[in-house]
Amino acid sequence: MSRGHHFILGLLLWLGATGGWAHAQKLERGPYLQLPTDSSMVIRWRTDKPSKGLVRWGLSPESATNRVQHAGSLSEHVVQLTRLKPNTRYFYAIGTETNHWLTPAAPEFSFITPPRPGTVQPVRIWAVGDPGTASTNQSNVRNAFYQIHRQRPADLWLMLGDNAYSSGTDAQFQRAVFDVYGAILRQIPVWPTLGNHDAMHADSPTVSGPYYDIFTLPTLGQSGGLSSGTEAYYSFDFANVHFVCLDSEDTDRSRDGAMAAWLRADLANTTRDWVIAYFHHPPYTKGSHDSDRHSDSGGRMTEMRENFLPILESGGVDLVLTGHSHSYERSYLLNGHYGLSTNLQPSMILNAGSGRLDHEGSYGKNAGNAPHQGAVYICAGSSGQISGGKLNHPANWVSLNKLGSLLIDVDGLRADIRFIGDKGQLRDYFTIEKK
Amino acid sequence: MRPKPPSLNIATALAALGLLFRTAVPLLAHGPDHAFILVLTEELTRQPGNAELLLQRGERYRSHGDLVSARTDLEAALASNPSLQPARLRLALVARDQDKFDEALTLLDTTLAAESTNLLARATRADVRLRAGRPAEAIPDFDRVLADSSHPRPELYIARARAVLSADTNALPRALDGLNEGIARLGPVLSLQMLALDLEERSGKIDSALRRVDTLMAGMERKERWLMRRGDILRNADRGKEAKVEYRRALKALDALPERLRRTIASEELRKELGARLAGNTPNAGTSPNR
Repeated sequence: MSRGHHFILGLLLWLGATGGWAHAQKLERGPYLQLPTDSSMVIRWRTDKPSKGLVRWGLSPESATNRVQHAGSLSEHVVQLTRLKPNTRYFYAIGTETNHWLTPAAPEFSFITPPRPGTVQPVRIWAVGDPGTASTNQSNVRNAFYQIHRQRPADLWLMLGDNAYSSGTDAQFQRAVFDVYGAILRQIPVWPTLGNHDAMHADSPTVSGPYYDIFTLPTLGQSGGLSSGTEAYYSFDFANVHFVCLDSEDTDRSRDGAMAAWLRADLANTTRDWVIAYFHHPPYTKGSHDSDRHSDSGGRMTEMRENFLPILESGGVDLVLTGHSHSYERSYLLNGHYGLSTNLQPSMILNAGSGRLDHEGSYGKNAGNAPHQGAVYICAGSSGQISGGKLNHPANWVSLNKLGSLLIDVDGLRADIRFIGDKGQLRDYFTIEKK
Repeated sequence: MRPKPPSLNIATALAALGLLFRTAVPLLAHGPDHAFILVLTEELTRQPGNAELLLQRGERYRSHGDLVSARTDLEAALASNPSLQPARLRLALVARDQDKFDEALTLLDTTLAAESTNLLARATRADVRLRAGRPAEAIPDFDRVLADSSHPRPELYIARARAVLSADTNALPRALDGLNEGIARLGPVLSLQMLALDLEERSGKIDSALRRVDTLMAGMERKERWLMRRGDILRNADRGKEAKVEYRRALKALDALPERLRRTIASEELRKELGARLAGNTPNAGTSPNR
């Protein structure tokens, strides 16, 4: 047989084994999970060639035989699984209409749907701030979390902005998000907020650019909360926790703006036990940014502090998570500090202790999201790099120039918050208890 | 709206990248933006007057709020290449943020003359015209941006409604129509609904306002403040008897809350407010259901 015949035979054997030309399709991104509700989940992925994306799913790898397919031939695949049961693990595989499967239905390709809103059960949240350096630092912080995650997986994770350096291009998102967090993205839904570096190629007013193209976020309160009408800011519920994502970068930050009006109503409406807010620009930082300098970051830190903290505190917020400064800075239990650091009054520090159960004790609050009971503010922008700074803002109980990420465990009326270093070190911890 | 940074040409980008690798470790200690600005600065010493580099650095300065440095770079970029529209647009944004509205408008007019479909430039011009106290001129720009945007945000509809009202205080129905257009397109967005509710009440469309409250309330977990708002609308329309029915409903909704939500300062204050309204001790005024 000639070499030409060998080639043709080989090609035919390959086609036979793989099922057709469609098998040449390659998975370029994902799968990753978005927009979870107690009865649905969005699965997204990208292929090098267009096709009709197909998902098969079920309660076990063997029974993953339900099928759903999106319309049209696309490279960016977005498929929503519906009529799911709450708090239930589903296994899924993604592929093409020609039954070419790009992933197996296996434990690493599975997710658990959220519980019904309001359900009281343990909730674990992972949060990374300014992670997107695609560096060893970022991988180390991730690996330290993975060690903990293996023992008790997180239920959801938050990205606090600057998710892809240096300017939020699609290629940078690939390197800093999908290449780094691929294993967790396929199992746990991620909820991002826009950072200034992501915004360099994203445009909130027209909701366009890689950040908005990549993420599928709620605009109509699909996952709980009220309709914001935009992916730039939104809210959602998970169990007994209400999450609020604000856009501190590229949306009107005035008190009478649409985001402020929506936030007031959203907070007034929640009946969840806990309220966690997150956005990119920290109200209290003396790290690589200075929240006292109005010119720093175009006044965004000042505006968020002056205009949005009063709304959040009136709405009973418990935790406010931010990034931007590449450090870890964690406040006391605070209320009413809307000015410069020099204007911090003792009366604004509701609890001057560490919040640690094994030291001065936890931070206490009344149940019911009553206004102005105190909140803890955390700047956790060191999940990809550290950049120093004076680190001496008086509102903060601790300020560290250390790499790490946040782990938040909510169980009933108690929340334990830990800052985990890049080698798994416990660098800070505190507890909030409600009665 | 944020303009996309212009892309560097390949040679410049490679040169900058090479330099970044040589200098990355010490520079990254101050953050990637700072590092990139230093890289661009060093590259500009080799290529003085390179318009693309000046534009890149100017935009970095602008995004960090250093408007003076941004202006210097963007003006230099335009001097070097007057047809570089992205630099003109960014300079307009700097001028806007420095409250130099006339300058911003001149720059935006030039950009739009060259690129009439540039949505960002048009939205910026609408915004600047509104800020400059020229709402009537802003309206056509808002109309065009909303018509041409595939995903318009609620803020644009609200800004247009405010422009309409600023231009003509008798234009409540037109402003309301614009908001309803947004609701029809985006869904029952809360910020649009709340402004529409205010306008309906102000224009005496009481039944429409009540229907809107009912629609809003249907999706709410907590209804007590919306019932109070319903009562206030009726009271302000001199329908006191009906208003009291709503206040009682609000009290009932408050009582039905779980104890942890009922026994809060906010709930107690609301109970007092409702009691005062039922006793007729409060003047007529618009209220918001928000805390």
